[in-house]
Formats: sequence, structure tokens, C-alpha cells
Amino acid sequence: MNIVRKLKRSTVNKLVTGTAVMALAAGSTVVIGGTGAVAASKVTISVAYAADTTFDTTPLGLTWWTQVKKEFQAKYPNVTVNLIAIHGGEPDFLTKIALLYHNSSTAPTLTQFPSTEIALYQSSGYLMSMSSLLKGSSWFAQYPTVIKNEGNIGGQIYAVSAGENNNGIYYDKAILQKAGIKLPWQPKNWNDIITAAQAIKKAEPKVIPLWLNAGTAAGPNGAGYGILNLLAGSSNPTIETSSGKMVVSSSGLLQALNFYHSVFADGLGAPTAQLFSPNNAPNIPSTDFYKGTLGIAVSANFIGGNWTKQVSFPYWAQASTAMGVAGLPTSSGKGYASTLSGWDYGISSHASAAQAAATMNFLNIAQDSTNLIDAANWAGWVPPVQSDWTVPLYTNFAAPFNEEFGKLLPYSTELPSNSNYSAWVQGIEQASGLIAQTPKTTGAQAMASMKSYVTNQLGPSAVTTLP
Amino acid sequence: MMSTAVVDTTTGPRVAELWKSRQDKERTKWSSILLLTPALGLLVVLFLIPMGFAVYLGLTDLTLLGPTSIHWGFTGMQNLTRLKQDTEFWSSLWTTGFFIGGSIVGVVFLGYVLASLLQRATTWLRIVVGGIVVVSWMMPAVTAGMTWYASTTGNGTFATLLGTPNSNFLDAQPLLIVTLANIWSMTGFCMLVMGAALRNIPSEAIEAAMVENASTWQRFRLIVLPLMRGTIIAVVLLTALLSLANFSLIYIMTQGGPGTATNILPLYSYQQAFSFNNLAYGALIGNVMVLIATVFGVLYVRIASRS
Amino acid sequence: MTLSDGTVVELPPENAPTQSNTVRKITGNTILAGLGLLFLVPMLWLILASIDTNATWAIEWPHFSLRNFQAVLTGSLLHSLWNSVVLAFLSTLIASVAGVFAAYSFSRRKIPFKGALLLFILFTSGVPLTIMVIPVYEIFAHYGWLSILPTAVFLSVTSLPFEVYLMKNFIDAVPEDLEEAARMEQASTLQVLWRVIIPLAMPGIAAAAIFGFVNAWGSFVVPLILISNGSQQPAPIALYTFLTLPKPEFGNIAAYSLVFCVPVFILYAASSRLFREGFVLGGGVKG
Repeated sequence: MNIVRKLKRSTVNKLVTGTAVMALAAGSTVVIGGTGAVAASKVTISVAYAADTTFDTTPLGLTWWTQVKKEFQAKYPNVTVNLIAIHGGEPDFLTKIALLYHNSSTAPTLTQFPSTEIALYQSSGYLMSMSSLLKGSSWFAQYPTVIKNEGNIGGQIYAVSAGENNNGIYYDKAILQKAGIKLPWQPKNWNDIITAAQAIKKAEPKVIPLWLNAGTAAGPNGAGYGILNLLAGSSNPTIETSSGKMVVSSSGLLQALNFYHSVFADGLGAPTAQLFSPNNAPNIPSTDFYKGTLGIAVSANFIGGNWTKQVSFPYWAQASTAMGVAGLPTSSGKGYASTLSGWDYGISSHASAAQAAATMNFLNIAQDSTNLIDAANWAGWVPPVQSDWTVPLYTNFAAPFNEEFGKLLPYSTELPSNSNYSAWVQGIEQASGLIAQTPKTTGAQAMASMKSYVTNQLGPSAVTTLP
Repeated sequence: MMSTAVVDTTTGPRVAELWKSRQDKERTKWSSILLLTPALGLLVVLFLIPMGFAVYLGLTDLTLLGPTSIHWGFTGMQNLTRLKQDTEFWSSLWTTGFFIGGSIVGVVFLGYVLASLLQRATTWLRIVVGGIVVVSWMMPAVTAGMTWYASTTGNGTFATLLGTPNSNFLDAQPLLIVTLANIWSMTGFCMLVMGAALRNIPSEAIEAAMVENASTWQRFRLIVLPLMRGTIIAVVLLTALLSLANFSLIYIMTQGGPGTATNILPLYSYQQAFSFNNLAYGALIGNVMVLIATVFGVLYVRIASRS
Repeated sequence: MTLSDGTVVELPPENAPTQSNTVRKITGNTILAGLGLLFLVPMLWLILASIDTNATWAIEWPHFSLRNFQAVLTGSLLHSLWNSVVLAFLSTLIASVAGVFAAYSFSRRKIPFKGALLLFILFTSGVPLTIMVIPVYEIFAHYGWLSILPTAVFLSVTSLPFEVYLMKNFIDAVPEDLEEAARMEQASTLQVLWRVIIPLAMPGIAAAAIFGFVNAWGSFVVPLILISNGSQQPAPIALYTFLTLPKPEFGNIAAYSLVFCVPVFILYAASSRLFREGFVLGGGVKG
């Protein structure tokens, strides 16, 4: 959806920007992968990534990037690679990337960013179409269609997946057994989940029966690991209509919020002290399960990786036998539901042809069978190449979780990527947080508060109500 | 009307002095301007110009990402209309008002009480308590936010000490708790300032009042208060300005939540600019903050000079 | 003693152990101790978690260890502390020098539009940094100034308004005759500043400088945006990064925070005499 602005506007823009940045003939001496004639044999590319929040730990991230860079430099000694490690939380990383992209001289040649940003970067004109560049890449051809289309805007591919996150159910076998639930457990519908949680509460009052992410503390990702999975499995999972309006009231939203209400009103959910923790709440289930204080959790695939030695959050050697995985059922009982989101690579629209070619070579190495799976293991992703889901390097890493979530991936649906999404997700997170904190709040009340919040933020013409 | 139109400069040293001092008073020396240059230069280049840009930004449609991050322009009253109808903005204004008001009351009261108690305390107690309070002021906002989060969340320090481990004070009364945290982090400065001001009150005045058997409250009202008026007003202003601009403390503790309970203006402005990518709208909210700060400043000048 | 109207009054010695005096002192001390404890409570977590190997957000009896301190006083974390020192020191230097000059000028000299200028300075202190930092980023990025020295300059600007006001108040209180005497001896402005004003207004200048240092020391948003080189980032960024990690080490976080507070505490202790001597603020607005 490219909005064409009049030439007049862009001239005004240049004038104002020029004045404001006192654009005297200062010419930046720092050329990081920008435009400019470059000797044919020596090419420089810059690669920007989040140092602290993509991989499960900062050292793991550093290890992976160093490993890939080394392999690349060995094969292509004529290309210089500048790794730009951006520190800080995810919001700060996103702000920094937006600022870097804003100036063509600082725009990184290759960036690794969340899939929810793809449409935003593309509509800002920051990304180059990779469709022709990908023609020789065998790895991309093996992506399932839904993952290929993650970066598809208007028929052109602007981003390729590095790894995916999907969601499901984790449960503690011992706790469920004590509550009299038959193993292996696979709930058929949402009622099954509530019944199981109630049984757990009766049998083990000191244990948190069910973990459901709620509130805004975890940032926009929190909803994707929480309520949006339920929405995906509801009778009306639409978040954004084909005309681009955000849905603020629907039977699907009501079902999801009603489920939250049933859980929290019965005291089956986690305390807000944990849910609203500013310290990466979505990872807390791995600690709680380890301590034996949590029965069931609806959460993302990376929880399994937290128990490995490399990540150690915390290290739990018995996790593979103590824990079970189930798919999140839909409200109707047919199939499973999950959101799909991940991290992607994009090439700067300001890259020269030589830089784009060099970047493609870099990507081919980053996405080769070993590096791709290493990244998936260390960042808590499902690899985007389907055949990798059964490769021992992947399945043995966080057994059996990696394998199970690979199996669940085909049931997931991609999260939207548009400029209104951030306000919308804030609205639904607030609604879920409201229920978690004041369980008397009904689903309808929570949905009403979400509707008024999102309408206030986006304006009535950008929102809609569905049956 | 002609009064002393002609000055006889030839008579007497006093007249010469008058003439000389009048000369000094009327001229603005070059050195005065030169002395001001570093400070004003820095302020103009690194504050005024970016601030002017920020003011202009508030009336545009610039976004951090999306089509209007590259092709953006002046949109006139659009953002102002949005501001007027934005229920979240008005609610944020109210929350900010409570935060600032509560902080002022707490800081001034506690600061005065501590300062006056410190004066009469035994030496070692003075050093220890004074040190604790000053350290709480000097602690950077990131740390202060963390410690207050740890203290007021479920199973936190206060909950454990009061014997109710599961009480989550922070989520139960978020605005009250962050206000308390703010008071805690600002009292130290007020205490120091008031301590010095108290020391400047001439002891004769206090003793004279004691002779006349004035009670503590009368002493405070009739002697201390008027003499400390200037200090109190200055402290009120500083507290108001610093609270208005407070970002990191609340950001670390609640990120503006739960919901929008602690979403004071700086946080709302940040949210609009960086979470929702509406740089221009966020800048407009920032401009409102500058306006409020100006009102405080003008009030300060009015009240302080009326003495 | 003699009152201002000449009457001679006999007062009991100030520290005479009268009953009301002692009672008042005990009450005062008790209340003070109580307030001190109240202020200490939030800091308990910081202290306990820093010496605990298994720290969490809750306070619990720690598994004593100094390992956390060892872990944070190494490598890049120590380097971040050093970056903070450099940043805060440079920023304070610039702000104090510019501030003294400006405060002196405002206090003693006739300046056109002085009232308006003072108000302008006051009002710049209310500007929200989070919005300001974007245009400044654009400017600095354009000139390739995204490093520690230009950031220090910008930080100095953020404490300049308060510093000028604080210093001006103190310089106002310095009697003018000393300056006149110096001028009689043909002293230049700089000499007057160096020999007369600065020594006499030192408590205020020191207070302002400490304020500026504390401001720059704790600054978070500004270095986050303006310093692009990871190895030049100061301690608050490292601390915040700690907090947002998927796998947080609370013990390390607490230990690092404590270490981070130490320099400012030393600064306070060293200058406490200055503070006690005189810290006069709000002597009214002198036009």
C-alpha cells in the first residue's frame, strides 16, 4: 500500500530537514554501506542485529554471528563485513533501527528484525525487493508457503525468515497426574483446559494452575504468546479486515476474553506480580515449571530451549521427561491454533548491486543447514526450512520440545504487520491485563474497554466491528 | 519638567561618584555578553533549535516508520484537533497533576521535617540518617525504579516486612506507589536546601519568640515560614519541574501501567512517539509539557518577586 | 543577651538539661530514626540481593557471597563504569564553566532582556528530553558525532539551566564591596572571578556542579540514543540491558547498582562540609 505524495511535499520536507539539521556542506565522513561508487573488487556491507534480545543469551548471539562472519570471510575475502550489534531491549533496538534507516548513509545493508515490522519498513521505502536475488537460494525454495509469504508484499519478497515462533501448551506431567488427568494430555477444546486447571487447583492449591500471558509489561510480543493464540482459535480470528481496518469487537475477541475471564475469575491464573513483571514475563514459566509451582502454560516454543545447558534459564536436565507438550485446541475442537511470528532479514534499498550480491552470499551462508539450525536452537526458533524440523541437530537440542513445536507449526497463522497494529495490540493487552488484575471484569467489559481505547487511538475510520 | 537636568560634575567627590555609577549602570559591557556566550550559545544551538524543530514537528504528520517517515509535511491544526478529542491525553493530564501535586506535598513536608529534626539531632544520628536520605536522592532513576519495584511488588520487601507476602501494592495502587517512590527520590535535595535555609534564620529571632512563650506552631508560622518563603517556593518549583519531566523512574517500575494508571505525560509522549511510531503527535504532547513548565516558571517569578 | 531594642534578657543556657529540652530531643531523635529507617527499607533489596547468589525480586535470607561484585567489576561492565565517569566529568566541567560565567553575568551586570533570558533558561529545564533527543540525533548523525564527547556536551546543556540558577543565587549573596576593592586594584573580570567570586560562592558552585554530575551520571535516554558505539556506552545502559535480558541475573544487577552509586556517595561525603556551610536558595528573584 504505497501512498504517493506530491512532489511539493517532498521539497518542503527537504527544506525543513535541511534547515533543522543545518545541512551545510559537511558531508559525512562515515560511510556505512551507503551509496557511492565503490571499487569493484572491495565491497563493504554492514549487518545490524539485536545483541541482547534475539538470541536466548547475549553470548550465544555473539557466538553465532561471529561464526557466520568467519565462515563468510573465509569464502569471500574481498568483502568487508561490519557487524553492528545493537544493545538494549527490543523497543530500544527497534527505535535505533528506525533511526539508522532514516539516513541513507547509516542504513545497514542487512538487518535482522521482527516480522511484525516488515510492512512498516517496506512502506517507508527502506527495503529492497529480494525476489530476483533469491532465485539461486535453495533454502528459500524449501520454506512452507505461509513462511515464504511473511515477506511478500504486492507480489515481491522484501524479507526472508531467519526463524519462527509458534505457540502451544506445556504441562507438568507429575502435577497433572496428581490431579487425576490422563497422560499424555491433549485437550480437545477450551473447556478441557479449564477443567484440567480446576482439577489442578483442587489437588495442589499451592500451584499456579494455568499460565496465560496478560498485560502490557511484556511489550507487543506478549499478546502473541498469549491471548492472540486464543483469538486465532476462535470462531472469528480476524484482526485486520481486507480493507485495512482493525477489528475492535467481534465474536472471536469476545470468546478469547471470556476464556480469560473464566480462568482468572476462578483463581486459575498466575498472579499479576509475575504477569506484569518488567523482566520478560513470557520466560517466567520456565522457572516456575522447574520449581514445580506451575501446572499448565500456554506459551511459545522457546520455553523448551530455556532448560538446556547452553541457555540455562534454568538448566533442567529432567525437563524432557517431566514436561509434556500439547497443541492449543480451537474453540470448536477442530485442529490447533497458534500465532506465527519471527525474525527476518531485509536488505537496504540503498544498497548497491555489488553490495546486494555480497549480502546474498552472506545470507546463503547464514541460512545453510548448520547455521540455520544453530540459530534456531540458540534463539528459540523453529527453523523456516521444513525438512529441518526432523533433523537431529534440531530435535536433539531441546528434546522433545523442538520436535513437537515443529509439528505444530503448520497450524499457525501469521500476525499482521501494519502501522495500526501497535495501538491495537496495546488495547488487547490492556484488556487482558484488566481481567488478570480485576477478575470480576467480564469478557464483554474488557472488550468494551479495548474498543474505546483503540478507537480513541486510531480514530473511528480505522476500526470496525465484526459479528 | 526639569529637575536635576544639569549636573555640576565639578563639585565634590560624591557627585563624581554618582556620575560614574550612573555611567556603569547604563552601559552593557561587552564582557557581560562575552561571559554569557558559552551558556547561551550551548542553549541556543543544542536546545533552542532542536526545540523549535520539535515545536514544528508537533504540527506535522512525521512518523518513525511508514510512508510518512519519508514524505511528511505540515498538517496544521490536525494534531491539535486530535489532542482535544484524545481521552487518553486528558486522563494522562489528570494523572500527571496528581503525581506532581502529591510529590510537592510529600517532598516539602518531609524535607522540612527532616531538615529541622536533623538540626537538633545527635551527631551520629544526623550523619547516618542524613546520609541515607541523600543517597536515596543521588541514586540514579534506573536503580531507584528497580529497588522500588522490588520493594512494592508481590513478595517484595514491604509485603514481606508487613507479614503479607502476597500483597502486590504496586499493582493495587500504582499511582500512589510511584508518587511515593518519586517523593523518596527527591526529598534528599529538599532536605539539604531547607537545612541551609534554616541555618540562615537568625537565632535571635527564635530566642525572642521563646522569650515570649510562643508555641512551636506559632514559632513556625510567624518566624520560620516567612523567612523560608523564598526557599520553599524555589523547592516547590524544582519539584514540580522535575516531577513533570520524570520518565525513567515510572518507566522502569510500571511502563505506564497497569493499563494507563501511571501513564503521565512524558510516558504518554514516549509511547506515542516510539511505540506507536507517531513522532509528530508525541512531539505535540511534549510541547504541552513545555507549556505547563512555562506556566510553572511564570507563576514562580510572580510569587517569588512579590515579597 | 541583648535584644534589638536594647532590653537585656537572661536566658537559660541553650543546652541546659531542662525537662522539656530532653523530651524534645528524644522525641526528635526517635522520629528522625524512624524516618531514616523508612527511607532505608527500599534499599534493603539492593543490599541483600547483591550479596546473594540466588537473588530474585523477593527479599530473602541471602546465600552469602561476594561473587556478584566480582562478576560486575570485570571487562565490559567495568568499562561502562569508566565511560560513565568520563561522560559525567566532561559534562560537569562544561556546564560548570559556562554556568559560572553566565551566573556571574546575570548576577552583577546589566543585560538587555535579563528577565526574559532568565525565564527562557528556566523554561528550557522543563523540556522533555525524549522528544528533544530526536532532532539532536539527526544533527549529530549528520556530522558523525554519535560518540561520547558530543554527548557530554549535550548532557551539559541539560543541567545548565538549574546550574545557572543555583550559582546565580549564591553569587547574589556575595557582597559587592570585595569586588569593588579588587577593581580598584585594576583587576580584570577574569581575575575578579577567580580571586573573589568563585572562592566566596564556592558552596553554591560546588552544589551546582554536583547537581550537574549527578544528572549526567544517571542519564539514560540521552546516551542510549546518541552513543552508537557499544564500547562507549555508560553504566545505566548496561544496567538497563541487564534488566531486559531474557535471563536476568538479579544478584549482578543489584551489585552493579550498588557499585554505580558509590561515586556519587563519595562526592557527597567529600563535599558535605560545603553543603553544611551554606546552601542558600531562593533569595527572591533579582532582576
